[in-house]
Amino acid sequence: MLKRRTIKFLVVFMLLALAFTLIAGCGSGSKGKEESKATDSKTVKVAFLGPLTGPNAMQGVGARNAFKLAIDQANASGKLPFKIEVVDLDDASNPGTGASVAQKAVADQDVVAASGHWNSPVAEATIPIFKSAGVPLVIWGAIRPTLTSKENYPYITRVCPTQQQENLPLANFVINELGRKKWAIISDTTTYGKSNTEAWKNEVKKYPGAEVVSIDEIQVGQNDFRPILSKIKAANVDGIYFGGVVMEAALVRRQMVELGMKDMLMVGISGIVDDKFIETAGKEAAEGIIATKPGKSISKLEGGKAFEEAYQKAGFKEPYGAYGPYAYDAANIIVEALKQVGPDRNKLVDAIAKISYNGLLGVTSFNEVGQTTNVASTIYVVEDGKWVDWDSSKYKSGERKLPGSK
Amino acid sequence: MSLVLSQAINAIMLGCTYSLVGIGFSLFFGVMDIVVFCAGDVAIFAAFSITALVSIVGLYAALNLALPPFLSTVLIVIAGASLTGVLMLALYRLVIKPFENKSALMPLLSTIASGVALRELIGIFYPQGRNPQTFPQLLPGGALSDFAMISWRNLIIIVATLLLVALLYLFVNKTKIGLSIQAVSQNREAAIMVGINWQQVVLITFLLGGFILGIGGFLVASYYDVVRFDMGSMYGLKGFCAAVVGGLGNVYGAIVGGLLIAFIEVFVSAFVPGGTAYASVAAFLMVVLFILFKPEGVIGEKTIEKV
Repeated sequence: MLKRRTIKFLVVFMLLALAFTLIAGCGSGSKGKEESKATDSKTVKVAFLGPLTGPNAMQGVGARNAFKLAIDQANASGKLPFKIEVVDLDDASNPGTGASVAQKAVADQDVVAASGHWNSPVAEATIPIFKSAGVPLVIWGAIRPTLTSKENYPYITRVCPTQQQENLPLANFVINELGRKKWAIISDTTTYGKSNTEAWKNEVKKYPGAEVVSIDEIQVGQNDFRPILSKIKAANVDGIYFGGVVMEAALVRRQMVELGMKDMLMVGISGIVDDKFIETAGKEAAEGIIATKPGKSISKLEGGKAFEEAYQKAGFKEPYGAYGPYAYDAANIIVEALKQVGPDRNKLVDAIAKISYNGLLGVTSFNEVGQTTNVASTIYVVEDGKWVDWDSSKYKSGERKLPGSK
Repeated sequence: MSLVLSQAINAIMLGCTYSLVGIGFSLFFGVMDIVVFCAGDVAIFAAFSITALVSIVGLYAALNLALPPFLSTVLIVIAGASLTGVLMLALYRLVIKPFENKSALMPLLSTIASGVALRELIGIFYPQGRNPQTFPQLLPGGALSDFAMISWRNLIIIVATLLLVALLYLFVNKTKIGLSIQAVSQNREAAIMVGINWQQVVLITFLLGGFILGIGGFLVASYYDVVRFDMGSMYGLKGFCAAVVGGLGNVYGAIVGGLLIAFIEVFVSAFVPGGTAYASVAAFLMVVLFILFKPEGVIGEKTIEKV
């Protein structure tokens, strides 16, 4: 029934489909070089880069608002001899777009510092541009550990914790305090998932007797995890570590319950701390899931109330989101450095890297690779369909027992 | 042993969901000799319209007041599937009929394009359509036995698939319209010569195909518990592969093909270390091999092309 030509066409088509599945998830970066000289000038500009459109726009817009709020407050305070202007640039979560707006930022001699990125691949693409232009970049939301490194120091600094810094307190909590030793890892094939797998493996290794018995990679958008879960069920582990994001996590949990694995602990990092997780997994299935999120909850922070009030007063429509406070502190760190050395790219690079700033999130200073040393985090547990701080949960007080407790 | 068995059940479930789309592909190809590439998206459209009927219109709750839950589920599924059948008819009129008697590549491209359009339209116009939607659970949950994974829902999905195929068999072989569909699929000119209303047969095929895809979409969404606007592309591709492996144009082949692909995917991810990420790759590779070495499929008949 099939003609030769149709067959040929089908073969080509299938190979394309094959190639597509193989390369899905790979990102691409681009490099750029820009000559620059530090010049003095009267208007001082600070660039903000982030996803202002596209699937992660909520994160980017919230952070941009918080960033602007900090700069506006600095301008209003009148402590600076010049006015600061925010140039907000949309990287659209795309490395190519990110690189081109970064070029645009460094080409403007008035731009003396920048803060940027929620997506790690985008940061990867723009870092060489800022480095070669000698413009300091303070990362507010991208969490891949390798972004801050010896090679990038002192140009690149970061105010938010890396994935490694997120995994560390979680591992300490579930292995030391809860005594769960045998782990199965499920992560997605994105770099986010992969570096989570790496981070968790390394953390588990640190504890004697703890081990990782299986690692499975899933695709973002996959719906059926039953084959993996059946396998893990047979391996009889103490818990499943999930290194991915909300939707897949919720489906994994749902299907765990379906397969009779309700009594197995599941843990994750900030990628799954979202009400959508509970909604999709179902209130009962989600009960007793543990996850960490960087930072203390805003209400617990000194100055948190003032920040929230100021944010409301400024009339932003969008919520500031998980990374708003980081962007706020990033902006204030840049302002602080500007106060110290004035609008000079070269001097700012050193001033930012050596800063010790007491802000919204506490005292931020950067270590030898430009990574923040301020890594407070909170453990959350799902209780009655809500993410609850572990310290005030019924699980801590012993009223309830976590899945798989003996 | 129990692990192998529960993985086999996983594979059978997955295979059922692939088969239903595969049947849609085969039906269209058999009658029209064209590949209707938006089948996956059409199936997901059904899942979305059922979600809308239940959670936005509130039809399920309303029906439940008067009828037992089982009946209202059936009614809602039939409503959703009928909507999909009508959509398929509209698609036929808009993007397939204009290319009649032209190169087979034209409807292929136009259906790919309309699949993309359908997907994006759902994403744009369904409330929060770009976010995954929780699919209302209309089938009874609960496990029949702790051993392996036999739950009521899985049983219903398998039985519904089998029932659908059986009904299709009866329809195609025992009714006059079904026989005319067969006649057209075997030889269009001869069928026209013996007085079969060819246009009518095509319309019925599309209505029927849309209906089957609609039920397929319902079953797949029930199995996954979730619908995404862009689920149709991968789902359609797998269904197409099922049809090709089974033999394009052969409805029963699609079932065999669907099961084969599902078994490969499940067993690669379960028993090959680190194989989960490559499960789809393995499945597609098998399809390529099939097209190269056995293009007529597992149970498709070999035809000699006459010059």
